[in-house]
Amino acid sequence: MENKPAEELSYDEAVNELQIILTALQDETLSIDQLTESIKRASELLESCNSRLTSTENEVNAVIQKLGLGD
Amino acid sequence: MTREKKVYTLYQLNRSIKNALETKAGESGFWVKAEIAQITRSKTGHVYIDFVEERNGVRKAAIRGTIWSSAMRLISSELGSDTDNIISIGSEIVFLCRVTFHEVFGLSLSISEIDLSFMLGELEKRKKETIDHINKEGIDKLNKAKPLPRVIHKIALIGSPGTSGFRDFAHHVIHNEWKFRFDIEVYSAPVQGLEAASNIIKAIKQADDSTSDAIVLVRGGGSPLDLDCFNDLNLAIAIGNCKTPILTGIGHETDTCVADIVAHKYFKTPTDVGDFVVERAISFASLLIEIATKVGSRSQSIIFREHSLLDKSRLGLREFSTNLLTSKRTVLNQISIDLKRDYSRLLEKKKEAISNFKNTIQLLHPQNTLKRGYSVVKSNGVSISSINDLAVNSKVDVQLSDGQFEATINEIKSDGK
Repeated sequence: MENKPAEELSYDEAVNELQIILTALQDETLSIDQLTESIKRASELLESCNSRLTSTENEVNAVIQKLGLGD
Repeated sequence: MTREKKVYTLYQLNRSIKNALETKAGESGFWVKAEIAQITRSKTGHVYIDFVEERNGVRKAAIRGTIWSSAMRLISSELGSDTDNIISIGSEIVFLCRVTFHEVFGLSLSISEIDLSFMLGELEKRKKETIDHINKEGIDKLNKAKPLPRVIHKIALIGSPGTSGFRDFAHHVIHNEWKFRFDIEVYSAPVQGLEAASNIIKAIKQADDSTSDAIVLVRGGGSPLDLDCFNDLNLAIAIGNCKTPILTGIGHETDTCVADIVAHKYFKTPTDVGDFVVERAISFASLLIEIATKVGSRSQSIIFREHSLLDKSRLGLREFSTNLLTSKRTVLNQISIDLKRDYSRLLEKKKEAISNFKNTIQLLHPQNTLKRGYSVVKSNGVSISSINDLAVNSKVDVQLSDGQFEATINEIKSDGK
């Protein structure tokens, strides 16, 4: 798997890659050497998704407030 | 022998002609019908007329006639404004006269009265003939077929400026209370007299080239003779051939003339034409207002509908975006939990495998064999596994689990041998 920096992936691509890593973990096909690499990659992807989700949430909330739809 | 001839003087002759004629004809007058061929008016008000009777272009009779100024005054007061129309070259009149003979001027008819009803009868007859001709040729339908615009804005006005009919129309249209502005172009033409019809025809032709919305032909009230020019056949044909719709307003409440019959639409008075033109503009304006009102209310309902759609969309936007974010968050959290769990589990398994491996290795270690009572015999540092490698009296080192000792070989026995 070629590893693009997480920031260059779309949110969906990042989540897909996380799912693939999860499947590999569950299938126990990963070697110990790959394990470190994959956990680093997974945490990088998670971090990126999380921050994007948070910033999207903030933006959406701001727009909702602007539209006068806030509670 | 020659008899003395009886010679009369000219005067005597004329005298006796005069006496004979006046005795015969007396003072009584009689009615005569004749066509006027020539008219001469004296400065003192006498009117001299040459009467003729022709049939098929052949002159059958001719005589001079005179209307003395005293008689002329009476006739004028009776005929009024029609006088000049009646006493005009080419018109056939019925008149009361006496035959007179003047010693100097000779034979002539002295006219004392003119029969108007005969004139009018003639006019009616001619008008009826013209109408029959028009109906037969379909001339009355031609101008009616020209479409009249919804708004008659550019008007070619034919009439005689300064006459009441002309002023009535112009005033009515220009000073309409809605303050509509019409574009009026005037084609001046006399509307009575001998030349009226031909001048009106000329004006119609000019006006037809002006690309006006309509031509308006007006003339105020008048006697049937005054209005007779509007019964002219050539005028009717000119109206029929006109490409522009023509509206007429001729006379007062009297009956229609031929021009009315062939026009696109006719009205009783010039004022009525003006009303029609203004009302047509008003009805168009009302239509515009109605359309504008409809457009307004329709737009409002569309805007209202779109507003409520937009409101729904905005509410949906909040709900869906929040839901979407929540579900994405849930997925991500689940992934995060799964990742932690699966890494731990995988690491545990790897550790377990290593530890099993370690046990196996430990189990195989020689030290453990020595502990169970086995020993290793080495000669010169090399492990011995066969008696063939040993000799009696040689020394060997024996390794036990917790140390070693030196031994000397006394005897060698072979197993089972």
